[in-house]
This record gives sequence, C-alpha cells and structure tokens, in this order.
Amino acid sequence: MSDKPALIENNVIIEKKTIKVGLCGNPNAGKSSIFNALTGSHQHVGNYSGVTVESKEGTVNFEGYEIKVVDLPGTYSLTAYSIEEIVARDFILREPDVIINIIDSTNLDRNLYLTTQLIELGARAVVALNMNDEAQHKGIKIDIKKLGELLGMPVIPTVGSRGQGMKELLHEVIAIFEKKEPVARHIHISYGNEVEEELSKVQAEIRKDPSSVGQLSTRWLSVKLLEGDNEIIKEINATSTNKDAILKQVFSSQAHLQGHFSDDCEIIIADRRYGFIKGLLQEVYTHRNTDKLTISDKIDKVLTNRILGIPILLGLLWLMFQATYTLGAYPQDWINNGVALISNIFTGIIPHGIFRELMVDGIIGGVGGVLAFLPNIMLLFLFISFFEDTGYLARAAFIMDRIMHTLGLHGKSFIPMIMAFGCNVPGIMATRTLENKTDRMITILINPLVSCSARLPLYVLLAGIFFGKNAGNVIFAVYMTGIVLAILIGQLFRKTLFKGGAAPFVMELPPYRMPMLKSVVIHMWEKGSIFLQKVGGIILAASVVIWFISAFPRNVDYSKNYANLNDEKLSKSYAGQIGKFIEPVIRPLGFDWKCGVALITGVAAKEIVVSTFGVLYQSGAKADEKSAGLREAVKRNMTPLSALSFMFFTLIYIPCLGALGAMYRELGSLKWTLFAVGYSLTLAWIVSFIIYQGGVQLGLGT
Amino acid sequence: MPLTYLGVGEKARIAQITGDGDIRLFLIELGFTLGRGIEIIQHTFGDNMIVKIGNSRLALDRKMALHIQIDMLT
Repeated sequence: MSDKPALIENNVIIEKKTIKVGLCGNPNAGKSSIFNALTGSHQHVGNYSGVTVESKEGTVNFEGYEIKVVDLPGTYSLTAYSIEEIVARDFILREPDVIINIIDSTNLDRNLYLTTQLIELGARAVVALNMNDEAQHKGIKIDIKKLGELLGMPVIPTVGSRGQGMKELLHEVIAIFEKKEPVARHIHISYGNEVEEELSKVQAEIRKDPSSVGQLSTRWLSVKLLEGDNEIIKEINATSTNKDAILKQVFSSQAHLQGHFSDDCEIIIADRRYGFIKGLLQEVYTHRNTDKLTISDKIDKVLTNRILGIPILLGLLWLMFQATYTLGAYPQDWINNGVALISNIFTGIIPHGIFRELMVDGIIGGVGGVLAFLPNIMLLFLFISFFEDTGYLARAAFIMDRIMHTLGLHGKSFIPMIMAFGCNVPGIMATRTLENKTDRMITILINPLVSCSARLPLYVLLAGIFFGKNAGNVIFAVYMTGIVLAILIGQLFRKTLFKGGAAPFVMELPPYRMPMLKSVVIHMWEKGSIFLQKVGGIILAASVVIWFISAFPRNVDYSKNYANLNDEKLSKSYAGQIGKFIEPVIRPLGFDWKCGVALITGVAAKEIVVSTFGVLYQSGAKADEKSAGLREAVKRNMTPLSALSFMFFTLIYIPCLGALGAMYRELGSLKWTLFAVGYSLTLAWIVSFIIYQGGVQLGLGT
Repeated sequence: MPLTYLGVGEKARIAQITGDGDIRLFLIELGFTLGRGIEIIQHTFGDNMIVKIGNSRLALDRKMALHIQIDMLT
C-alpha cells in the first residue's frame, strides 16, 4: 500500500488521482463494517435498519490513489419509497465514480434485487459478497466467477467484520475506474416482450429531447416512468421540453400493460427483476438445506414470546435505569470531590475579586456541576449501545408494535424513542426508517417527550437529594412518564391533526449478535464524548453568561440587613430580574425565580439547568458552605414536592436547541417546529400544576 | 388462504400478494415473492409474527400478514 501524498516528476507535482466510491446495500448486509474495514474510521456499526442516518465519509490511500468512501443509507431498493432510498439514489445518480454494492451472501436473492437496479442504472459497480464465512457455515455454495459474468460486475468475497477481502475490493475499484476490468460490462435485464415494447416507445419520446435529462440512461428513465416514480415524473415535468408527449406515452403504456397483465406496472417490473435473479441463481447457487432453528430463532422464542416479551423489555429498561443510577454513584462522588478540591485550590490562589468569582462560581461551579454526571450518562449509553448492537432494539420495536398501533402509532416509532434516552437528535433522525409520512411526523413531534441523558443530571441530583433509597425508582418513573406522555400525545395528534391509522408493520430482524466489548465501548464513547464536547463548549459558555447575569449589575442599593446580603445581591441581579419577571407564571408549579432562570437557560442545552443551579446557589456563598455543596443549597430551597414538579417540567418543556434544529430539518417546517415548542410548554405547565397543586391538596407540600 | 392461518413450524408457499401498489411493492422488495417458501418461526404478542423466508427473518403484524396469500405445503 502506498501512502505518498503526491508524485514529484521533473519538479512538477502530479496530483494524486481521486476516486469517489459509494457503498450501497440492504440494511444489515454489513455495510458499516465494510466501511470501517476500508477506512479504518470508528464509525458505529449498528445492528438494525437505519443506523446510518446521514452519509458518512472516510478516505483511504491505496496504490497511489486517494479513494473517498461514502457510506449510504441501507436500502432494499432504489424506488422513491422512503427518504433513505431517495438519499441513496440521488447520490448514486450524481456523485460516485464507482459503487461498491454490498451483498449478504446468506440472503442472495433478496440482496440482488438492489443489484438489478444498479444494473438498470448502468452504474459502474463491484459486488462485495459479504459475510462469506456465514454463508459457507450454512452450506451455501456460490460460483463467484460466474456470478460476476452474469451481473457484468466483478464479485469479491468479503468478511467485513474481519477485514477480509478489502485489498481485493480496492483493487477492483481502481480497475473499474481505469476501465481495465474485463468483467465489467453493461448487461440488459429483459422485462419480457410486452413491457419491452412499451419501454422503447417511452424511450423514443425521451430521446426527442436530448437536453432534458442530462446523462441519465434513457432506458432507466423509461423504466422509472413506467413504474410511476414520482421523483422522476417531477424531474421530467421540470426539465423536459417534450414532457407532455413523454408523459402521455407513459400513461398510455401503463394503461396498456395494466390491461394486459391485470396488474400494476411496478409490480410487473419487480416480478421480472426477480425472474432475472431466479434464473441467475439457478446457475451459480447451491444450498444444502438446513431447516433447523438457528440460535437466533431460539433466543427469539424467549425474548419475543407472546406473554413474556413485554415484561422482559420493561425489566431490561428498569435494569438499565437502576444501574445507571446505582453504579454511576461511585465515580460521581470521586468527580464531585475532585471538583471541590479544584474549587478550593483556586479560591486559595486567586485573590478575592471578580476574576475569582468568575473562575470559582461561574466556570468551576457551572461546568463541575454537570461534569459529575458523566458516569451516569456513559452508563446509559453503554446500555443503549448494547441493545442496539445485539439486535434487540429491532425486536423491541416489534414487541411494542401492537401496543403502539392501538394508540395510533407505529412499532417503528419505538426505536427513535429508545434512541432518545441517549439523545433526542439521533432519535429524531432515526424516524427516517418510518415509511409513512404522517407516522413519521407524529414520531418526530413526540420524540422530545422521551427524556434524553442531558436531563439525567437534574433527575440524579434532585432524586438523590429528596428521595434517598428510591432515587433509582423515581428516575425510572420519570422516564416512563415521558414514554407514556409521548404515546398519549401521539394518540391525541393522530385523532386531531393527522387522521387515519398507522401503516401496517413489516421489518427485517437481523440475527442476534454478541457484540465485541471493544465495539460497544467505542460506540458508547462516541456518543458520550458528545456530552464532553458540550461541557467544553456550550455549557462552559453558558456558565460564564449565567455567572455574569447573576453577578451584575453590582452598583445597586442594598437594604441594611446583612444576614441576607447574598440572596439580595442575587435577586437584584439581571438573572434575578428575569427570574422575578416570570415567577408569577411558575409560582403555582412550586418554582421560585431561580428555577425560572434555570429553565430559561436550559433551553440552550438541558444540562445547563443543573449548571445554572450550580452558579446561582453557590455564588457568593462562603467557602465552608461551598464544601457542603450544591446538594445542601438545593435542599434548603426546594421541597420533595416542588423537586418532583420541577423534574417533570424539565422532562416535558421546550426541546433543547439541538433537538429543535433536528426537528426543523426533519419536519422541513418552521410551523411544526414552533408547534412543538408551544405544545410542550403548555403540557409541561399543566402536568407540573397537577403534580404540585395536587400534592399540596394532599398535604405533601412541605 | 392468508398467512395468518399458518401455525408455528408449518410451511407454505407464497401464492399471492394483495393490497395497494405501495404495500405490495414493498413486500416484494423485502423478499415476499410468489412461489417462495415461507415458515412461521414465532407468534408474538397481539397476533404479530416472525416468519422465515430463505435465510432472512421478517417481523410483521396481522394486518400486513393478511396481504400475503399462501398455499399450504404438507
């Protein structure tokens, strides 16, 4: 392998040739593992459909070429059925020099369906026959050479998880790029006389306007038009000067074929593609039939059991939250002690004044207050990564499908909800696996109600202070309330804003895999390090701002009562003024103005709710009070009831800026994003009002 | 008869896919093609099911299963 950046010949620098490669394949075909093996980057390998929510890019230098590899979303087809298919197709049409089509060897016929569409497109592709080891284990024999000849694409056996076949794959990429690959040729999939006749009529109309569609194959366009592909029809309408004649011919051809076969064109064409695959497999594929249940099937007998499935799922989730709290408590103490130590050191070495306040009260108080929850967040991500990598998450969606359906949602809505336990942004992105648009909109709108790990620090803090031994259970209850509310609100939206039932459920289940500890830990770290970046970025910045608004203005008149000087200083600061301004609205929920300030700043990122407490409750406190810590300060200012009310408000109210950004991108509508802000704020107020006022009525107010 | 009549461990062949174009196409793309062998691995909560087609396992709900007509194999 050569790694030279550029060749120098006669003092002229010759730029290295760049090849752009797109990876495409079915979900679960092992695309991500091949991407990692090729590029060596630690992109996460997920084990359920839709992990690759945005195309990831990596670069590899090979034999003097710079090869840029883009991992496309996994798709079964290149119709415009889902957003992921559209993303993948657009990319394949416009960008790459070479395609690597990754195929699950144990599932040849279904996987080759996508390949037939690449053939139709005239894509220059190499096929990676992946999971070749599993296929051999299952007694599957494939004539690789012949398969390549029949497809007109070179075929390389690979085992992505062990990096086998990567060099050969890259060799082929270069050979295809340089047009030196003898196997690569364009073959013709025949759709039978009737269809072919109509195809050539449409093709003739398209050819009359050579400018209309650039370099796209006219045959492919004709196939897509007969299939009634909306995106292509739009394209023709927008760009072709001969659009009327083209579309007229398309409609008449469709009508003719429909009459002849009494079936829709897209179904006829899909059938023909499978016919091509069937013929091909007869020549290259033999399979020793093993009808035994696999280990995966046996695990499913228990985990997706009719009666046990749901209790097991709930049990695992309960375990996750208990462990997050209980195991996280130890390293949390160490971090707290460390922060207190640093705080004391700085108090000792920096002379009294504004700079010391900024460092100790603002930065160390704010950032340290949040940093303590790193262990909890890491543990939560560890569990989610484990569920995802084993393949259990896909089952969870399926187990919940019936309940979700009864409530007007889709089983696949459940995966984004579980992902949201970690962070709502990937949760919202994961909704792309939902095929139906209204199912998807509802799932996005309710996603922020599922509590993310950024809200966890507040729960851990308040539950730890006020609920002692039951803290783990209280946290579990808050998270479950989030899920229940999400489902109820989803049902409400379904009945009012988005009428009609959820789409029926069908989903491929990947086999269970025991993930390697290393990969789960890497995966956990990738997600968890986003938290650390936030600590160093927005939370640090917010801490400074919060300190500023709580320490200024300084030149105000104080009353003579020195015992309460600190409190008075704070209440007359900018933060105090803002807090006091909104206090009337939140008073009925049991919150004082400090809570109000924390809620406002928390919109930037929910961790900041805790760092705001860190700054507000500790600023100006004497050193001995500080060692007693944030917990004591909060304990004096809140009651168990107001703490509970505050936890629920934080759970429900306005999604953080990051989540709002993701919602705006995925909903594609400012109106609906603002709607999410409005409804969540209203709902939060109502729920907290009921909890607090209800509690007071029951005499729990103290 | 529809797939919902098939019991755990019983085998059948796919005879017909019904429903509107989108659903049928999606099922076909997932591998529910005419003439293929299909077997029930597991019935789950709420009459949902896991089926085996070739080497893949697919989860589907009752509503989707009604779109799949089968011939029993004895």
